[in-house]
Amino acid sequence: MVLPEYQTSLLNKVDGSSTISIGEVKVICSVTGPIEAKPRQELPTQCAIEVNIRPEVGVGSTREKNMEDKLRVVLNGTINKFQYPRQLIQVHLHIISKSQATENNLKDLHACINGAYLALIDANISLLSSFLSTYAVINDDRLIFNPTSEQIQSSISHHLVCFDIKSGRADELLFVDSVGEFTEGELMTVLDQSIEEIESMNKIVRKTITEKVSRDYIWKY
Amino acid sequence: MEEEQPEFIQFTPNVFSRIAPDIYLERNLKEGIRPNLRKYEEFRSVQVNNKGFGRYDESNPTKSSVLGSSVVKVGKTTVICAITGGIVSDDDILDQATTSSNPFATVYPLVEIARGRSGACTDEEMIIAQKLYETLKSSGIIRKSALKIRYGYKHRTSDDKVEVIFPRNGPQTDGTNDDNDQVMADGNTAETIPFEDKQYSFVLYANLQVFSRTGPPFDICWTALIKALKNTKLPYTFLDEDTTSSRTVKSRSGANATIERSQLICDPVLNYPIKLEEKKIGYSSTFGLVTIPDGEKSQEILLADIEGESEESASTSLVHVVVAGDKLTSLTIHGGSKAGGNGSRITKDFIKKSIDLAHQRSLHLSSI
Repeated sequence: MVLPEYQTSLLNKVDGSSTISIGEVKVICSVTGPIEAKPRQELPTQCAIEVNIRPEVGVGSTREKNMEDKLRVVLNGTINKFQYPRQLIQVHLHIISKSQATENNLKDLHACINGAYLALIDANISLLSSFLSTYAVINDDRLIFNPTSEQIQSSISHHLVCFDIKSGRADELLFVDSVGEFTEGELMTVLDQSIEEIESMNKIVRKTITEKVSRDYIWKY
Repeated sequence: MEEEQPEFIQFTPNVFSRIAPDIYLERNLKEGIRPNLRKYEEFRSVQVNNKGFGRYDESNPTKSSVLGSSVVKVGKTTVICAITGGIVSDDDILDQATTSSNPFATVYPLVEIARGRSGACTDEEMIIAQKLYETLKSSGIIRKSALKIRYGYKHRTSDDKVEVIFPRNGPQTDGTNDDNDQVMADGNTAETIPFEDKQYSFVLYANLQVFSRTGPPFDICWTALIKALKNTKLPYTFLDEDTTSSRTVKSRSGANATIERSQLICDPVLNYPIKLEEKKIGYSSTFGLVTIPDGEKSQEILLADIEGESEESASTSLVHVVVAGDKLTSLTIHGGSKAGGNGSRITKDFIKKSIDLAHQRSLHLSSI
């Protein structure tokens, strides 16, 4: 298992931030909120969530819009929205370096989801559960997690799976995006293996989060 | 003082479904029927019109630039898809899709959802267009070689007639690179034609218009796009060489300069159908998952082909599948039991059931 490299609290003008590197993909994420919502965004009983993804060069295109939409699905299911009625939570992501494999943008999205999770924790936003994602490809009938660009390019199917985590166990399926050519059986194998992958990833991420929190609240303990 | 009894507020179904879509849906489903009067696993009826308005349409040849078209009507929603094209030199870099080693091509879609006013495109339109682009690329329906151009030549014969010579094996490549050797005059003349090194390809654009949107329109847009691609015809093209001599005026010697200009011209009549990978053609279905409280426990219901405001906003859990033959091309799951609405936990059984239903739907759609 290749662990992503990550770091939190690197931006000081926002409420929470993180940077994450998975292979060649690097994403920087900031969370601002809860803040006052614009009148058209305001929801009476819950908070609005604004997701912005910027590409490494230039302004966002339809590619980023599609990624934002997918990330919003994950955030909608995990942010405790009823905690912040009539307010707004802004999640900004900037892709510093994108995947070299041009087949699809799942690897970038994988980094965005995990980056957003860390930034939300850093911003002390109330979450209903933890969540992590995995990216796997099927290459020569083998399932490979965290593939390299070469492996991505020669693979016939690609799967991004995101589970929420309760008490260290992958609990509910939050988001799946699979493309390429695959069978139902292969999909089920991917889902089963992803649970194990996410649970082992969570053990390590959780440890660093615990360290981070005890460091941040040094005067309380 | 006597206290006034609060009156019951009554709403018409239209208003009720707007104010409380989740309760409205729940009340309907408890009766065992959906708000749109369909059964849980029933899809909307589909009508496809392949007789298009294209340039090479046999029934109605026009001078338009439309190469393929389709009109798909699903329930109350109509989608009109028109495929147009352009020619680019293979040396030009359009985007990553054209430069990567990926052997599959795609189209550049533009989706417009009619909503009774003009303005900038909405997020939904952009997302559907991007999804169409990505799904077509990953499904491998169009090979890049199917869009390669083998052009003919226009030349003057010995008895001063202008004729156009096309490659003997037709304008379609078979993916190999030995095209240039195969080219010979199609009559008695057997002269070889010097081929330019420059290679050209078609790029296809798809313009999709969605009228009276009643639910997530991706499925209908995808069907319309595939049906339009199936009747897309690409033109025969030939190189028209134009030589003009011009005298430079200001130069003292009055030197003559010969300007040679060549341009690719699309034949107004001759055309050939685009070669698609038939086995990889699949169709898309969307399913919503809702939970309704049923006494002590709750009941989970799978709704096929969601339609209407209440179903759309209340079912936050979605399964979206594109099936080609016995394989899946694309699958997206939005889980969201906690996202508000009536979404429910996505279980393996639901995924399997959705895939099964999507297979049946795909078979039906490919038969019409």
